[in-house]
Amino acid sequence: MVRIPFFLGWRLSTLRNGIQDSLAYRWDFFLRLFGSALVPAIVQFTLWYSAFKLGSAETLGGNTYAELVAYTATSMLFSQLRTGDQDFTIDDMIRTGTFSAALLRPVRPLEFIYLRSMGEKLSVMILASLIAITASIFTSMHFSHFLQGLGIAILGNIIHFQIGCAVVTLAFYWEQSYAAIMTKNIIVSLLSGEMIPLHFFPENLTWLWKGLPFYLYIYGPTQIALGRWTGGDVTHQLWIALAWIAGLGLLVRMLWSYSIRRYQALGG
Amino acid sequence: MNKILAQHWDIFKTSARNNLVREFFYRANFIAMTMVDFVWALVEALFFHVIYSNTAALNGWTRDQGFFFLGLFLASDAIFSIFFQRNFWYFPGAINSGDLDSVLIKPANPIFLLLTRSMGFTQVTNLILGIFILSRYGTSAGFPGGWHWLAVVLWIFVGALIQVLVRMFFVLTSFWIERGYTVSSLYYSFFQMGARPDLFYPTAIRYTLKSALPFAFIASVPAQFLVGIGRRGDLLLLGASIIGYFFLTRWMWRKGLRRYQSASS
Amino acid sequence: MGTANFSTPMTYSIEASHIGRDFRSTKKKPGFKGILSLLFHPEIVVKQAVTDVSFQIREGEFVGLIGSNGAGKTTLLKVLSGLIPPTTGTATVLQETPFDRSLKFRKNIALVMGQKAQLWWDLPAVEAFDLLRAIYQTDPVVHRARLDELATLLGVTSLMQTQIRRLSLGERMKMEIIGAILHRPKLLFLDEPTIGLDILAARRLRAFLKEHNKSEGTTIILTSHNMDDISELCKRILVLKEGRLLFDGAPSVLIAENECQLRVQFSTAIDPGAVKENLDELVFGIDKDPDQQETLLFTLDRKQLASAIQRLMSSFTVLDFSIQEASLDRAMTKIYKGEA
Repeated sequence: MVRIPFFLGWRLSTLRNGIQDSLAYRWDFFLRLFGSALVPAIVQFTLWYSAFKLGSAETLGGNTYAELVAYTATSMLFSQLRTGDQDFTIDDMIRTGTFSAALLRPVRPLEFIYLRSMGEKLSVMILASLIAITASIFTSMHFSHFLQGLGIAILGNIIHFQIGCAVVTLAFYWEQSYAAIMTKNIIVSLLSGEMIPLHFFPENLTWLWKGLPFYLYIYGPTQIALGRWTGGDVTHQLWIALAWIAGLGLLVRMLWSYSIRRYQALGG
Repeated sequence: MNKILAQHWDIFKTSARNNLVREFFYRANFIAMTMVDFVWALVEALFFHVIYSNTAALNGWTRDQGFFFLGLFLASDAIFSIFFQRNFWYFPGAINSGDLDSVLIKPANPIFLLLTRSMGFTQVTNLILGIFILSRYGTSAGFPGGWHWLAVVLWIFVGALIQVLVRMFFVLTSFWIERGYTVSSLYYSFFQMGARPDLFYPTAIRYTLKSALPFAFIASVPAQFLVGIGRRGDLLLLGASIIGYFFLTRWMWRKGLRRYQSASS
Repeated sequence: MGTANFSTPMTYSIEASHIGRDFRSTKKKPGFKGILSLLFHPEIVVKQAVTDVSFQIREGEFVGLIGSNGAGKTTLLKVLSGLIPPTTGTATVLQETPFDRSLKFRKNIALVMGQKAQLWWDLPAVEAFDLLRAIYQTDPVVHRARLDELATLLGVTSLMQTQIRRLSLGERMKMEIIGAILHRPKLLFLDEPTIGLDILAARRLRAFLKEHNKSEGTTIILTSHNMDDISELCKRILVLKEGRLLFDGAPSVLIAENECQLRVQFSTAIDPGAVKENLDELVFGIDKDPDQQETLLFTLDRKQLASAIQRLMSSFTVLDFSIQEASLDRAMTKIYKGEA
């Protein structure tokens, strides 16, 4: 057997641990999936229904009924990837002081928390891929487009985690950062494309979503999966996502190295 | 009877004052949470703005009527959130941790005590914002104003009452289901449907929202009555929902209490 | 013991007759299958928490309710305070059936649980008490005077404006007690009130409770694992074991007055049998010390102490010895272990 070096070993076992955890609670997992994926989709779907079937719109925001329904259905595949309460977990750890214990372990605490939460994400990804394969048989969706979208969504998930890590450092100063995380999440629900397709935004407001990385969570991947953004667009989005990750990585490192000193100085 | 009413009014007043005192102890948190609630209201408003920038009307419901609905929804939800929201979050915990015991031996209505313990005044801003939106878009939405404002107040409380009753149903399941948190999040998923005018929905969902899950009465049906397009049949459904949920939750409370008492040692 | 109510010695605060209490729980198997079977054919487990318990408590008595964990103390408290009905037998508390929880009944009882806070943590005590005033509809002037009096007695006047969560455990328990007796209940249930308190704080609380019982004639039922609480406060104890009432009477009866325990540390580990030959008629029992191999514990009559020590010293190398008086603590340990 090949001996796994420690720097890789703890990461692998953390990931495995997270997967086992998510399997142990699969009943909860499905109930949550139902609540957080299906119901918002129904709410969105009915919006199209009311505009086209009850009202008599031909197009809405330049899209036909079929296009919008496709958007809603596809966005569901990605909307579950961006959920994750890692920031609330870290906030709680800082507030209750259990973060001190995490600092003493021979692993990097933030990465540890992220990898653990990836267990559930992997289950979501597998489920979404299975649905996408089925969809590509029966509809005009290409599975390769879905995979490209998934790639961007994974980068989006990393960005989501990084932003959470940055926001949560407020907890070092304010005792807790619950309100800040909540505010961020509310904004994300609109600007990620979870509520409505972002091209619905009137011209004078497009800067709102283009200037922030949230659209890389759901809207961008959905457009790619539906084949509305292809080739050069995808590469362009890839570079944007990588640029955000690099920038946020620096920011998180800076914020944490600064505020953790404060945390330890206060005695945790 | 009068004495009991006076007692419960006294409890309510005292609890409200106590909660204000508590908010002042946690001023930073108070301000932060006010911000959260306010941002939520802004996002909702932005949603309507974006939708209506693409179409003049949705199933006959115009932009100004959409905002009128939103104003009513914000105001009604604010009343619910101020007085009841937190208590419902704590409810499953009270049942599972035995907090219920100390409430049951107090000489006052136990449900009343459980529902008036904790109040959060961070949503006062949303109440004000809601009323502001109502007055800003009222006229153009077809709301006559004047003494009809009394009807607005009445409907706001009806909306809050509906939320209390339905939320009660969800929360009482924690007598039987231990994972109260999951049930609560399920409630909020359904509640989302009440955050849009019911005219947006296909007929089947629309009638569900006026019967089994009567979220349409939080603001949607009230808004229709206020702008003069309400249908009398809806009042019947409203009455039936209130009565139905009242007896259902009362029955569940009694059943649940008995179960609680037979399971504990 | 209450003096005020002695003119009517026949009024009982509590009459329990053949009380039994089962509780049922459904067994859940893991996974989805478990949920299904929970829905369709739940497996119900019935346990007996209390069996055939009868006793009477007069007004103004201070009674200790003791027993090991799971003996049924809390269950009995819940039955008596009306939180749960008995499965068999009847309880009459303050001339009423407790489980009816009539308004009058609820106004006249109070329950303090040492492990559960009833007052609201985020508030200063004075505000938390104001809510109790509203609930019990005490006249504000009377409430104020009563609160001042109790706060002075317990020495917490200066803490009234402090948030309860910022108080120490001992101070918090004092506040809980104040909250419980503000409305002058006739019957007070105390479940482990001194748990977690340091010796000094526990002693102060006991002094207060003793005085309160005497001056106001409140009937108090106390459960505690701390035998100092019981022996100092209760003239009468009820001992529960596995749900049954094992003993009802004065604690002094349980303590064999002339019995004591001798603890001897030898130079090497010694077989109890070998020592027994030597001491035979002098001791009642010999036990090994669970913590120390070389140490033995002898139970014996106080009068035989000197000769026992003499004999041991002459036949063995004794490094150290100590003598423990008979105590309620030891009597109870014996009962819990099933030796009595």
